[in-house]
Amino acid sequence: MSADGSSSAGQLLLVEDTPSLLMLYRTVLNRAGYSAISATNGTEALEKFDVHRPGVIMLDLMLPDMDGMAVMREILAKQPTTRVIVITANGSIDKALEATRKGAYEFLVKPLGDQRLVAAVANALSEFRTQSGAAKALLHTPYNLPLADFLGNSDVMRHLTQKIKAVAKSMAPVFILGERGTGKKTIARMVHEQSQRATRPLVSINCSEHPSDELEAMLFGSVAGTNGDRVETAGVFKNADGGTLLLENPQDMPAELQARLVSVLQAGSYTPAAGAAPVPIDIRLISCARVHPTEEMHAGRLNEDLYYRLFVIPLTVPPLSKRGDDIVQLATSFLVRIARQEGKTFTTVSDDAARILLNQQWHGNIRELINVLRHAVVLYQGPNLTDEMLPEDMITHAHTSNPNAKHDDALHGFEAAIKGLTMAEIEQRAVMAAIERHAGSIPQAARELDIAPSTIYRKRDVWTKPKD
Amino acid sequence: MTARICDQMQLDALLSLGGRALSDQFVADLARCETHFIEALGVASTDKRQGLELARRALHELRGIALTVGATSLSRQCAKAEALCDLGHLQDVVEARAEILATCDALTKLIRDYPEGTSL
Repeated sequence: MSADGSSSAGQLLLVEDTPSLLMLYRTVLNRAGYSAISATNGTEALEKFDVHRPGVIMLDLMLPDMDGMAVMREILAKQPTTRVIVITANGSIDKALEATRKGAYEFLVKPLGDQRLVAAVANALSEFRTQSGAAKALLHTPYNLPLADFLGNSDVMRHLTQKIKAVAKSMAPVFILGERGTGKKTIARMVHEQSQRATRPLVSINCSEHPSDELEAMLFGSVAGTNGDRVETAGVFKNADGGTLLLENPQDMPAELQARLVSVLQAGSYTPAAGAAPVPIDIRLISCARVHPTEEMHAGRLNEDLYYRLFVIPLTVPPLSKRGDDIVQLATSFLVRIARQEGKTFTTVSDDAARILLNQQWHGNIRELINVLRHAVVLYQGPNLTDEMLPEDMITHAHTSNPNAKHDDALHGFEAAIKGLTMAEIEQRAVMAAIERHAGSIPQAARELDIAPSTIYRKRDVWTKPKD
Repeated sequence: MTARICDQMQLDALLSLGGRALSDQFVADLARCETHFIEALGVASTDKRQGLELARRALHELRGIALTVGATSLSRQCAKAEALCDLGHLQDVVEARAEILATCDALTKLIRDYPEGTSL
């Protein structure tokens, strides 16, 4: 059993062609309670992946028989929820950053510190389990930031904190709205932990990341095999009983399942896959999404009855750009923690760097802020984060005397590119370009475009269907 | 001498963790990388492109081990030679060979002679 008390058997695959390094990683992980299967080349890695379907892969990018990037692409195509931790040598950071853009969960630079290695594996396993619904959700702030630091002191966040305290005591369903990377799941955890159900499980399920049949099995449970080798798996209704169920992106649930969910909520019971009789359930519902449920209901993507059952108390998480000085406070807190994991000693953010951070749009919100800080921590020594350590485009953006000029140029280029196209053609081009940018990964393209993967699958089917 | 070859504390921590089995494996891997590097330069005399690619791979693996045990000099030498391979500068790689092999041999000796269960 690992330090977090869970079994990792068959869930971790180490891919490293140097036997001594493989032995070392295995030793470190074993001491922390993690057991791993291993492979020394790309072909063996793919074979073992097919057999064991591990949730986390530690992957050296340079393998003797094939490019590590190709191995990662194939694995993510087969199981998009897999967390791939890329290992690279110092000096090959560009390749590692490219890998994270193409879907790697994170990268580690040799030499790998023991604590950093174990923390990366623990985080990845926890996220995989949360995503796959295989265990109770373990929702933490990124880098285990204390909640007070995560919340900051801005007026918008203080107002939100007060509202969380008030709604937590109620049993009423909460709907958390916010852009990607704003911390919606952390807010959900706060609601749960301040409620009377805090000692009971908080279980999450992301409705946009699973095909219909898989989602059904995750909700209601599943039965495989017959008689002697019959295996029953509990669904989230059972796992969350007595606690809280976090539904992410309920609008992406297929219509038929939305209707079934309404029935469950009306009856206060569900019929598990493994049984014939309804089982009463006692759960509190929290939902979250990037899109407004009212619009989704009007567009016909969210069942009207379900809408009224979920959208009772709205909580809106502000984007990072609206949080003022919180940005610098958050940056400093994350910086110290990231540096600790990387074995560096960053402690402060310089005034010039702070000014640049405050001037950004932060479309990726807290997640983007963390990426920028990790980039600086990996490349530089500290202890002070200076403006020169920030990505060049951020510095350029902050120093541009006429911030509209770049935007105007881009706009003209865009206008020229779409001239004469229909709306449908523009949409098709934008979607296909996003898929290409993500090396064929539809879940990642969907994340960039802020739409559900199922929307892309559906549209692509229409586009590729032969015209009559 | 140890300090110039590698970071004593880093090596100490690693070998205490993995014991004799790990130190033997490091020694075996270093020897294998050295052999691959020498063979790659042999290939390069008849097929420059192929030989330099094989040399780059051997140097990269050697650099991974060097970084892990805190052998900064060796990792720097390998990084420099890797870059030369990328640039196709065979003669420069050949000239760097002696220094790399000497540093690698010194590191191998240090690890092989590491006293089990005690600090260096």
